[in-house]
Amino acid sequence: MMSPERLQELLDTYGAREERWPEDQRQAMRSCLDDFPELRRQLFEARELDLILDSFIPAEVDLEQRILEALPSSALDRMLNWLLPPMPQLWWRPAMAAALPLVLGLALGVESQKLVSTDVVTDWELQERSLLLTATEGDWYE
Amino acid sequence: MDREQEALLVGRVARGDRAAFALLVEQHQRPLSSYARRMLSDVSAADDIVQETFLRLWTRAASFNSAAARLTTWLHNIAHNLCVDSFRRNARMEFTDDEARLESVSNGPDGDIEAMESAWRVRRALQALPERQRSALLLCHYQGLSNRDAAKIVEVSVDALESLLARARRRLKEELLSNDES
Repeated sequence: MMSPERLQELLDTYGAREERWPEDQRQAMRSCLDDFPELRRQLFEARELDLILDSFIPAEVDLEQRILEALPSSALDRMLNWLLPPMPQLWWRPAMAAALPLVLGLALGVESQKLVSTDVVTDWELQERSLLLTATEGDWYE
Repeated sequence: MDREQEALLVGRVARGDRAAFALLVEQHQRPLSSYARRMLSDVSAADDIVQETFLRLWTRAASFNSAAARLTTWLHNIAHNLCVDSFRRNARMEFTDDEARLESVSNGPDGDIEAMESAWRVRRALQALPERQRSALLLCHYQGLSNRDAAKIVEVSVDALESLLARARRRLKEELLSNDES
């Protein structure tokens, strides 16, 4: 059985609301209050302080959007954000992205053409060298 | 939301699921904001702390153990530590201007001036409490945490927490009820 002194201590500690009392002592506290009705004055005093404390409600704030926007983005998100920026003055980014395959295709085309041309020259040069090696000087003048 | 659902959502957050994260933000942001705003005198610092708390949920969700604590306790623990750091950095900073005064408390249903004055007195009295007494009182009285969870967050035994709470309430009673009578 809980003593009146202990109940007084608990009311001074947790206040008058039952939901704030320690779960494992609630029943004993209730019984003690029933057994010692004179302790209701302490309960009243504790409630008075509870009510004053409850008057302090901080202004409500909605930080959800801010929190979600602050999340570090993935590499894919970062790439998409770069390619499709929300700001209209950055129109050149999607245009540049769209033009990228064309530029790459042109570059590849030019490069491969060079390779083909070089091969032809090389073959021609080889042919010339082989002729030079096999032909005698007289053959040229005949 | 029960523990199982909570653990599932945190697991999804650990795998980078933004929708699950948004659900948890929706559920826990307001109580954490209330805690930080009651704990600190600087409203914008309090909001930064709430944002940082959720950022840590995003980056450290894998370390959350649902068997050891409820998510609300885990988040309060992070927010509490950030508040204590901030409080120690800016121990001398206090708001005295009317703008901060108005920003810090709810207007109430009808913008009741008397209610705002009362809220402001409570705020001042809470700010005047030593940091650990304030933390104990906020966690138990306003945030509704159990004495065991609050004791874990403040890093004291339950007996020590009760002592902090009793001293805090005694001091507030002297400050607020005596002022009320005068």
